[in-house]
Amino acid sequence: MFSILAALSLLVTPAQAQDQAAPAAEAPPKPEVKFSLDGYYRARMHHFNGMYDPESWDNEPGAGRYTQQRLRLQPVVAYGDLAKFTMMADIMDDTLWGDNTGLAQTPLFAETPTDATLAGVAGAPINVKRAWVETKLPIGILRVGRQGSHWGMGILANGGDGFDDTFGENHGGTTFDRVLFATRPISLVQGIRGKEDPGIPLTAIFAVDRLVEDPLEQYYGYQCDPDVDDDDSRCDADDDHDYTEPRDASDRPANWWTENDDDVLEFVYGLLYRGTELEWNGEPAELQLGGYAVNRRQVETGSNVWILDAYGKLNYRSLYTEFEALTIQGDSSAITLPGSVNYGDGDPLAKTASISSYVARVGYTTDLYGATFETGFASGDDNASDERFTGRALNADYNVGLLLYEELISRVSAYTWSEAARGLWSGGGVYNSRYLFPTLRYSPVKDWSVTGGFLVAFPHKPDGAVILTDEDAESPILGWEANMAVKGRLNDVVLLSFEGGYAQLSDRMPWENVGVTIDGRAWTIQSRIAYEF
Amino acid sequence: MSRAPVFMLLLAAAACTDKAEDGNTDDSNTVETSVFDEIITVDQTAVGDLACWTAGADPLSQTPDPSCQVMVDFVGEIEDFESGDEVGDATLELFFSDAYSEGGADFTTVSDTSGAVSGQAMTCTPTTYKTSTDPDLDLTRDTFEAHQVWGFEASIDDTFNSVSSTTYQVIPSLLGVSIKDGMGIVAGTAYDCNGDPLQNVQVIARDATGAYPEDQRIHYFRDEFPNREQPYTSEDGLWVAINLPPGAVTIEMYAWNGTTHELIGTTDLTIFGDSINIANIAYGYWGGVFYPDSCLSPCQ
Repeated sequence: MFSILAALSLLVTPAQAQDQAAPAAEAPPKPEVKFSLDGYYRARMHHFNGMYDPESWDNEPGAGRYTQQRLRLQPVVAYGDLAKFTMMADIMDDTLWGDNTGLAQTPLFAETPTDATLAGVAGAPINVKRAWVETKLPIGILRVGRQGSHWGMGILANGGDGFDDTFGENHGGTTFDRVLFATRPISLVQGIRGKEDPGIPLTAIFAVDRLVEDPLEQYYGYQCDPDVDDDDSRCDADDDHDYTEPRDASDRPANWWTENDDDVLEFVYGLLYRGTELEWNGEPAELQLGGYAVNRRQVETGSNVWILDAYGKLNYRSLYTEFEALTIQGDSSAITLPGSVNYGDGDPLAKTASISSYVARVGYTTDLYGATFETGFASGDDNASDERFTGRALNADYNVGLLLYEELISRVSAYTWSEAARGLWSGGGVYNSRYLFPTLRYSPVKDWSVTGGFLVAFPHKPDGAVILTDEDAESPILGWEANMAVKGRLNDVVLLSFEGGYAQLSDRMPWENVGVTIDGRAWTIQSRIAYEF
Repeated sequence: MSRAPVFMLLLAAAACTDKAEDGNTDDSNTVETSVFDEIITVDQTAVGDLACWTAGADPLSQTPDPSCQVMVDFVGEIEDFESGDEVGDATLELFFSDAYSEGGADFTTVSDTSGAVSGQAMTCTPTTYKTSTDPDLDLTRDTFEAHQVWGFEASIDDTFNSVSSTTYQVIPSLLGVSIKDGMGIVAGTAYDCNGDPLQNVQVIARDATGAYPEDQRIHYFRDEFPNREQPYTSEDGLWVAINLPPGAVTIEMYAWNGTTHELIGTTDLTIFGDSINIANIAYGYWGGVFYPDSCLSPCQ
């Protein structure tokens, strides 16, 4: 859910607010200021086999190992239950173990590890990712600042917090600079009418996000070339630029922030019924159902895109169902790819977005065991250079398996699109495919479980580059993957996870061209230890 | 030009005598027929100035006057093919008489930080240039431009193209082609008799054995942008051939005459793996070399 909803227990109704505002015989005690610390430290070890270009190193072809770590500190200062300030900082943010930036002149004598990340360069030693203030209002709650955003199962907005995946790790986390207002509309109306709060857990939210104040990539939308006889009236004689031009901060004028047409804003509307403590026929039950709408706009690129997302969850007795489905519709000229414009007289950069995705799970779970069947879909784009923009990967922190999406398709898409079209990378999310992912869990003792899963993925719209078309491939699947995980908790606060996976790519994936595996197969063993504050 | 005329004559002879109705030279090979038939499908007649030659006739030929083939100073700039930005610290190699398949450049220099290069080059002599940068940095791919002929001038001022690794990868991807490791790319323009882009023609690559490589993918451009929907050259005349095997290849250009596909021009190239070669084809010419008028009469 919206992470804001975790704090909605703080919400007061207008009736309660009136009570608080009523004159008292004596001044109420000032709320206590409390300091708390959330977060975690985690170290995750990876071993891969069968991956990477086998010609790179000849000592152990296709094998690689590394260990990442992150210390996440999330201090909270609360003023009673009226207001609080929260900050989230990652120290050693997915840094690799060891001195990988050459602090020691002779590696054999290295003793002090440094801050290199998997990208091979030094990362920021402290990365302050979020900071926001939250306060109660008479009619709801207001949260302002750089804050996480999470909705539903996290296939669109995924806060990336904690350890919520059976397989894999959260590395990102959706974050926005946001003003958010949340209220319980039924309680509000009842309060205005002077009636008792029925306690219906229906929450409405409205938020405004500032995505960009001034893009560094300067948008023009037309080309000017003084060497070409061009009668475009928008071009002065010496103008020389492409549809967009990269620039750096020094190119900005002093009043750069006053240009408003290039601002990117989004408006978020949400309504969620969140019945987490229901009782049906004497049995505990959980029902959540909601809708989430986002309108993202940028004037200069004619961008007006709507995202509609529905979420539902039902837990009753041992039955478990959950789904999230979304569609993205709208127009934009903001998506520019090198060597790609529309043919004809219209806007050369205009694209119409029509994207859809979903994930659904159904399962039977008890304390001892559980069986879950999951299916998901991320629409693809068989021609990224045409006027229809139909592909978008699921959020990279919605992890499905360890290899197929997370490593292999991610690397193929990155290689295929290169840095020039980074926006088309899968980033490790479910990409241009449908998948089936049944899992079985067995929990022989409290806090310990063994989970096995089998993932198979089917292409949606082969593009010929990341996913080969029928012209070049025969298999109906992208590949399959088998996973196993053993998870446990020690001393209440220490989390352990041992995970493994074996994947086989089909001829739909051009792994030979990309050098992502030696023979289309790969396996991995990964483990994590974490201390949760 | 040492080997090219012989090969060109062989191709011309093949085109005039042995060619099957569908333009293929070997009907006994069904795979060959299939590759050709899959690629050469144009059913529109070529649009351009076609007055200088008649399909089926001997190829056009030019002979530069030896007095025009002199070494002169040149200055230039190495630029990114896509963005036009200067490419600093790039190596420029010149191979006179297109002798680049054997290695050993006739002239080598390195651009300064602004991409500027200078040196000496031959006028009225087919020259292939190669630009490259440090392979460990993977910023660019080896970029060849074959059959470059500078006219007779006191000095040369020209731009040398360099294709970035990102452009090399993303353009085929936009066209729906996965680049095979170790294969090469050729891109160029089809020209008519007047030196203008030739519309409604198609190209296909033939390897040194005379076969049409099965993995090759041919695409065309619209408004100078790659477009996977464009089935043959548009008004810009641009084409690209992807996944060509290393070694000698001939790019053949075909037009539809209303009843059959006719070979109307070729260019001979050497493909290096993971590199791009920029080459053009002119109507009526075999081999890909054509000279400016300033080379065809005695020079002072």
